[in-house]
Order: sequence, then C-alpha cells, then structure tokens
Amino acid sequence: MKVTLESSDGQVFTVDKEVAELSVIIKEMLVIEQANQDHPIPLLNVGAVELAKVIEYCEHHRNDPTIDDDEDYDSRKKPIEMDDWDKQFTIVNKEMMFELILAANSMQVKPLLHLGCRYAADIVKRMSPTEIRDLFQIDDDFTPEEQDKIEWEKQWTKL
Amino acid sequence: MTESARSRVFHIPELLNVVASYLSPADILACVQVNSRWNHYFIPMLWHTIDDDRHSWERILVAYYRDLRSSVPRSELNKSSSSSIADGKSEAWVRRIFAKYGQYIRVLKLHWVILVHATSTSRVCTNLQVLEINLGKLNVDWSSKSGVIPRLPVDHPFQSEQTTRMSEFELKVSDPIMSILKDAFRAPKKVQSRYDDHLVSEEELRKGWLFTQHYWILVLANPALQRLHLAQGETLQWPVKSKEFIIRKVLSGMTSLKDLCVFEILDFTNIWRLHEIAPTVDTVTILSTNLLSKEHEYDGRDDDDDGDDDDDDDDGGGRSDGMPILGVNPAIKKILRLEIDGLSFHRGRARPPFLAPEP
Repeated sequence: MKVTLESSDGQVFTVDKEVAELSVIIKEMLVIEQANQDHPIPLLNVGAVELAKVIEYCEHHRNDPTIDDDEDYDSRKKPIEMDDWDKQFTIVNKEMMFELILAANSMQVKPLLHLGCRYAADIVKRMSPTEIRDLFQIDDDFTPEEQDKIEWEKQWTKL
Repeated sequence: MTESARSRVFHIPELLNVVASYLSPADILACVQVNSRWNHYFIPMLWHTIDDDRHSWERILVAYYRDLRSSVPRSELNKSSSSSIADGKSEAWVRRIFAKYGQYIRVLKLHWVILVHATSTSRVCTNLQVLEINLGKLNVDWSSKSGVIPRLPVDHPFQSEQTTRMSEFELKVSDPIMSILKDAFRAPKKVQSRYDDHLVSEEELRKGWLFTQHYWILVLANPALQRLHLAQGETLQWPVKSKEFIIRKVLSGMTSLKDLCVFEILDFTNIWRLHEIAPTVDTVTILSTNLLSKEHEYDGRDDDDDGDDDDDDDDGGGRSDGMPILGVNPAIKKILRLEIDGLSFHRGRARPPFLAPEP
C-alpha cells in the first residue's frame, strides 16, 4: 500500500506505507485518518530536499526493529548502531544534516533522529567553548556576576 | 534569513538530551561554558551522572573549584595557600557544589567518603535513580596513612577534614529517617569494634557511625531509586541489629526499585521475602557470599535450552540437590535475573529450575 506525503513547499512523494510508518507522526495520522487517504499527508515543517533524504533513509531502514524510547536509567547508554550506509548517508554538508535532524524531529523518525544527534555530538566533541560559539555564531552573554569568563577559558586550556 | 538549522537544533531540549547522551562529561563541561542558554540546558546533563571514579569528574569539580576561587577577592586568594585547601574548608566547598547541583543527579557512583557526606548533607540529592557506593577497602581501615581518600594529588580540592569535632558525629536531622537509623543500628557508644582483628579507635568507630548515618540518609531520601548497589555489605560502617529490619525499612518505600545489588545482606530466606518487601525488584546481584555452600552448588546438569520454559511453576518441589532450591518458592519467581558469586541465573532462558547458570 502506498502513502503520499506533501512537503512544506508543495512537492508530493509517494512511498510504501511501511516506509512512511517509520515516522511516528505519520503512523499515528494513518491510524486516525484511515478512511481519508486520497489526500497527501502535509508535512508543514519539512522541505522537499529534506523530505527526499528522510524517505531515502526510511527506505533503507524499513526492516529495522523499532527503537524503544523508554526513560529507563540506562537508556542513555544505548549507542545507536551505525553501519556503512549510515556513515555514507551523513556525508552531506553540515547545515543539511542539521536540517535533517529537525525534519526527523518533526516527523519523529527516531533512528534518524539519533543518527543526526550523534552527528551533531561528533561535531561538538573536543571543542572549546569559544570554538562552539564560533560554530553556532552565538555570543557569550555571561555577566561578570555569573562567571568570570576569562578565568573559565584559562582553566579549560589547562585541563 | 532565519536562524540556522544548527542553532535551532541546539534550542530544542529533547534533541539536546539525545546529543548529550553521545557526549563525554568533558565535552558537556565545555557546553555549559558557551553561554547562559547553553549553560541552562547542559547543567542538568553535566550532573546527570556523577561517577567519582572517572577522571572527567575530577576535571569537572576542579573547574568548578577554580571558578569558585576566581570569584574570591584576590586578597582572599593569596591567603588561601594550598594547605588551606586541604583543611576543612574544602569539604564545605564540595558540599556547596552538591547543594547547588545535587537536584540534577540521577546516577550517583561514589567511592569517596567526603562525597557521600556532601551528597547527604546537601539534602537535595533526592532524584537519584541509580546509587552505587563502594568504598573498597577504605572502610576497613579508617586510620591508614593513605587516609580516607587515597590517590590525591597534592593540590587537590578533595581532602577529607583532618579533624572532626566530636559533636559532628551525631547528625542533627529532624526527620523520621534518623529514628529509623537509631532503631536499626546499635547506639554507637556501646559497640565493640566489628573488626575484631584490627585495633579500631573510638574515633574511628565514630567516623564509621557518621558515615553510616550519611549513607542511609542518602538512601532513604531517594525513594525513586531503580538500582541500588549495596556493595559494601550493609554499606554500614556500623553493626546492625537486624538486616531484615533494614531491608524492610529501606526497600519497602521504594516503588520503582528494579535492580538490587547486595553484599551478603540477604540469605536465602531473605531472597524469598524480598518479593513481598520490594515487589518491583526483578534483578538481584549478590556479591561475595557463601550462599552457595558445597552441597548447594549447581550440579552441572545440562540445560538443553529448548525454549519451553516458564511452564515449570511447580517443578522442583521435591528437589534438594543444588540450585533447584531456588525454584521451589513461588515468591522468587518474580525475580528475572539473579547473580550469586558471579554466577548468573536468568528466568526464561533456563531449564528447570527456572534459574540456571548462563552458558
């Protein structure tokens, strides 16, 4: 069975139902709107470029077991398996990858979300606070009362 | 132009949670220093898991320490030589840190007495899900030259208080916890050293009593614990009147406890009663016990693992050989996984008795 999805910029994609159902949001929508499937499902926060990528990901992972998102104490310890295909998949420009994280978040494609967040973590890893600020183009807004910023930075380089 | 995707990702708390799960504490330490928004997001993650056995934890505390010191007026700073770091002030400082951030801790693994005291006295470490306190050999010999906290670099903020006033040995806590403790433990003055082959001074005994109070205050303040690791036996530096009393008092209040690791606190009778007392426990690990006496050793019978398990509820009724003794009591059947002296038993994977050694 096929499902049609419409990106925020109006492009329509037709995919297998089981592929689309990797998105928790779409899966829930399909349950609710079972009778009304002649209209494409609108994805207001996801552009066509990102949606194509998300679908590419879901096609590849259509047979994966689902991730249980339990809030158990050890849930933080489960690193997501990354195969060669996934590594290849993440070789896109940084901004695209972050767009994909947002798309995966709004569609609730859990494995892609984890893959993206791991990618984001890898970027931030071993960076100093200054480097992170540069990367994200954010200002240091600590007041002197909050922290002695220069002292912090000195400490960081010492550690 | 709207905000870049990378910034937006780092503004969504749920995503930050996932990102942080792939970061080391040292990385998260950098994140908290980025700006106030990042600080706000990442502080709870930085403090989510505290394991004082990891080097990163020392880094974190040292960074906090230096930060704190940098806010001290220069005149003060000059006065505080490295020797003053080693005196009682340092303990007060660690306590302040925990009082501020203890609320965020979910997983707490401690080896240092000073940190147990600090978390307990902070009174805000009440959201723990995992608690593991393991003093190793330190508890046995409080007076050794290496001190309560070994491995200390010279200019290190964690020195234990060199001298403790006698009045501090009795915690002044005005809640029912203390009455539970007083009921459970013998009054400190009358007690003989439990380490009969060591010479233990009165002060050392009192330190043990102090630690015991701190320890149990911490445990009792955390009813939401999912995993409790009592690796040091009673983890009591103090003789207990009744182990069962302790187990009852402590565990019966914990409705989410699933995973219990103990050190000879349970005997077989206790294990069977454990389900009544703490019905949510499904994993029990027992360390260094003599529970498996010779006649109770598993007899090595092959388990053929053919998957028709869980239907043997009444099996083992008449057995007396080896581990089947675990199978006879229906209460224990709620326990899914049991480890005794390094042997692991899983329910569901085993042949009768339902608990059998893993391959």
